[in-house]
Order: sequence, then C-alpha cells, then structure tokens
Amino acid sequence: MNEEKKALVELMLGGSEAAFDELYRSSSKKLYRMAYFITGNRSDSEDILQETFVKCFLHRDKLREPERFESWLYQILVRTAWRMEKRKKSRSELSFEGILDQEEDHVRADWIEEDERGKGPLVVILEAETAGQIREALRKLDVKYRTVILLYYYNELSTKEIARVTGTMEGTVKSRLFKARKLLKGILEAEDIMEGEQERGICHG
Amino acid sequence: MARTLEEQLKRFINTELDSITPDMDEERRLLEIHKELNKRSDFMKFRKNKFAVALTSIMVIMLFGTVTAVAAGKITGYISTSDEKTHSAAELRELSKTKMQTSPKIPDNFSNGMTFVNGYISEVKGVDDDNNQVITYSEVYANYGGNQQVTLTSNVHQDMASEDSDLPGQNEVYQDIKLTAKEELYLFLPEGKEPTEEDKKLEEEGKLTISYGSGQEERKLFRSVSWSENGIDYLIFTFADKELNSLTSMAKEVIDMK
Repeated sequence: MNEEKKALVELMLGGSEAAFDELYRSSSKKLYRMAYFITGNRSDSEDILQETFVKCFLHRDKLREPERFESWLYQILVRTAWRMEKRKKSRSELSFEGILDQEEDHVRADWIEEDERGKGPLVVILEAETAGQIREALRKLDVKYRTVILLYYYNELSTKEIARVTGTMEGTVKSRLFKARKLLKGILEAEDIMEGEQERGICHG
Repeated sequence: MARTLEEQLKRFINTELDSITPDMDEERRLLEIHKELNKRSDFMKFRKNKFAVALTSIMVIMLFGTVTAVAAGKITGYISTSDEKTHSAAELRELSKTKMQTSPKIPDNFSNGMTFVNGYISEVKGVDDDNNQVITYSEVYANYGGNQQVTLTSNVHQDMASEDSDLPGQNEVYQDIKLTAKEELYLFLPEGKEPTEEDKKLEEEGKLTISYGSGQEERKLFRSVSWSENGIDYLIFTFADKELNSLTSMAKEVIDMK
C-alpha cells in the first residue's frame, strides 16, 4: 500500500467521510468485479458492494493496522457474498444467472479480437472455446472454491492471506486451490492446448 | 501455444472481469451508501449513547425530511458526509474559512455558561428523485454544553435549499436581523413501525413530524431559532429542556459577535 492510500485509510479510521469516499472511488470497481465473480449476478453484486462499504465505515474501529485495509475489505466482501449465497441457496435460488452466459458473446468477441493480431484463426477459435470451457468449469465450482480461485489469480494473494480473508485454515485453502486447478487443468489437457505448467508455491497432492 | 495453466487462468479471469462494470453510476452508489450509513448510524449511536440519537435523528430529519419544505421543488433529499470532529472552536472557524470561503460566527462559549464541545463540517448534497446531485454546499455544526445540548449550524445561503415551512414561528427583529423561533414536536419511530391514526392526523395538520430510523419510539420537542446574516443562514437548536427565549438570547450573542 502506498503512503497516499495509507494516509487516506488513517483519515477514514479517524472518521473522515471524505477519505472514505476517496477509498470507495479507488476500489469500488475492483470489489464489484470480485462480487460478480463470486455470485455471478449483477444485482447481488451491487448489493454486496454497497453492504461492504457500509460495514467498512460502521466497523472501521475494528481495523487496527491501516496497512491491512485491502485484505480487511476483501474479508468483508467475501463474507457478505457468502452469506448472500447461503441465503439464496436456502431459498433454492440459482446463482450465476449467467455471468458468463450473458457476457459470453461479447467477451468471446473481445478475446478473439485481442488475439487476432498475433495468431492464426484456428488458434484463436480454440482459445475462445477454451475460455468457454473454463467459464463453464468455474460456474460449476462451489462458491468457496470460486472465491479461492478469485483471490489467488485476480487479487494475487498468497495462500496465507487467502486463509485470513476467508477465515479458513491455510491447508484448506491449498486443498481448495489444488482441486479447482485440477479440474481446470483436466479441461485444458482434454483440449490439448496446454504445453506446460508452472507452479506458484501451491501444495500438490 | 506455450501458455501455462497459471497464465491462462489469470488472463482469463482478468479479461472476464475487466469487461464488467457496475450498472449504477459510481457517485450515485456512493450516495446510496451514505444514505444507508446515515440510517444505520442512528442505531449504532443509540446503543452507545441514548442522547446522541436525538441529535443524530434531527440531522436525518434536517437532511432527509425537508422534502416538502424545499422551495425549488426539485430537491427531494439531502445526503451529508462529515469530516472528523474538532474539539476547538478556533480550529472550526479556520476550517470554515477554508471550506466555505467565508467566516460564519462560531463562539467559544455563551454567557449562560455553555461552552463549545466539538464541531465538524458537513458536505451536503441535495439530490432529486433519481439521486442526481442538484446542489452541494458545506454546513458547519458546532455543539455546545454537556451532552451536546445545543447545536449551532451555519451555511452559505442556498436559494434552492431554502426552507419554506408552514409552521408558525415567533418573529423578532434584533440589530435589523429577523429572528424566527419555533417549537416543533417530533415523533421518532423504529423502522417499520406504523404511527397511530391520531399521530397521522397531527402530522396532516402540521403539528407533528414523524421520523423513522430511531431505536425506539420517542417524542421530542425540537426548539430552534433561525436567522440570516451577511449571506449566511444560521440555525441554533436543541432537544434539551431549554426555553425558546434562552435559545433566542444565545442567537443574539452570536449576532453580537464581531
């Protein structure tokens, strides 16, 4: 966290709503996207985003170290999202209204357009197909697995930090990450487009 | 196609998510967040300090409850965001000068013994039905006496936000300035609680203002004195057991302040 942001967090912790507004503006898009990845529902994600920031300000006295602001905010968001998913599950509502379905066409189009410059058409189509496979696989994952994938690949948190954010043991995080990756790896290998794989300190086994 | 699973996943997730933006405009969402914060702060403060809820509630009334009192007819609600409290009147005067580009009168103490306890500057946004921001201005809050018994607010006069209350007040002219003193009865109700038919009737007759968002049902008499001086609107108010003429005397001391 840079000094400017740290100063804003300190001001917010002291009760400055102006600082709170700035922190909201600098991180709301990212947090909305995180909520969307977890729930797959735009309307729920708007609610989760709002609730996350409301809780952030109301419970700011619980954040002892300003440097931990981001992971603390992720923690609020993840738990708010999980609670909402749990409620929906109990009402047998389906999440993932189709994040990925509704967006599929244009995302796929973007994907193709972006890759067109350096690759042949067959490779581009194969990759677009793979994107669809990954999307489908992610959609099938339990919300807790999806969260771990999100925090690891999108937020680039370590397994230790993910454990703190999700309130689980680091071993559980590693296990969830491993299972999710195994599933996705299987899909990619089936497509025969993966040549190698590098690890980033994750437990295998 | 040398791409690892790690890279593919990272790239896939980033590409997917980067294309997604919230439906609601960022600033409008922020207004919604502040509305919710204002609402929930009542409950939070109520648990910590029973008296604080009265003052907080009146803020909510002043900020949200003036729908029918707005002259321009466009503003349908107000949202406020407040800076950190200061415990020095001198500091608050300095802050006001910087933020409002003018110097409202904020005394250190009054002759009745009430002294400055704390104060802050609130950024007020007037919004229309669709939550579009119509006006924005700064308002100074200065609290006096133990338990913040009396509050003095001041802001640069805003035509669009001028109140046009039908409630009769007692008018008095002091130093060529018109002072208006009022007593208004407020009923604070917990969210979702229905007022009685009798209270609804009193509200229709303009004898009672009903406000929601309190932790418990409470009736409070709101006494205030308002005036304008040098383009600044002042309001001094209390929920405490203080007579109107006492508030009027305090208002005159503010006017006398050089």
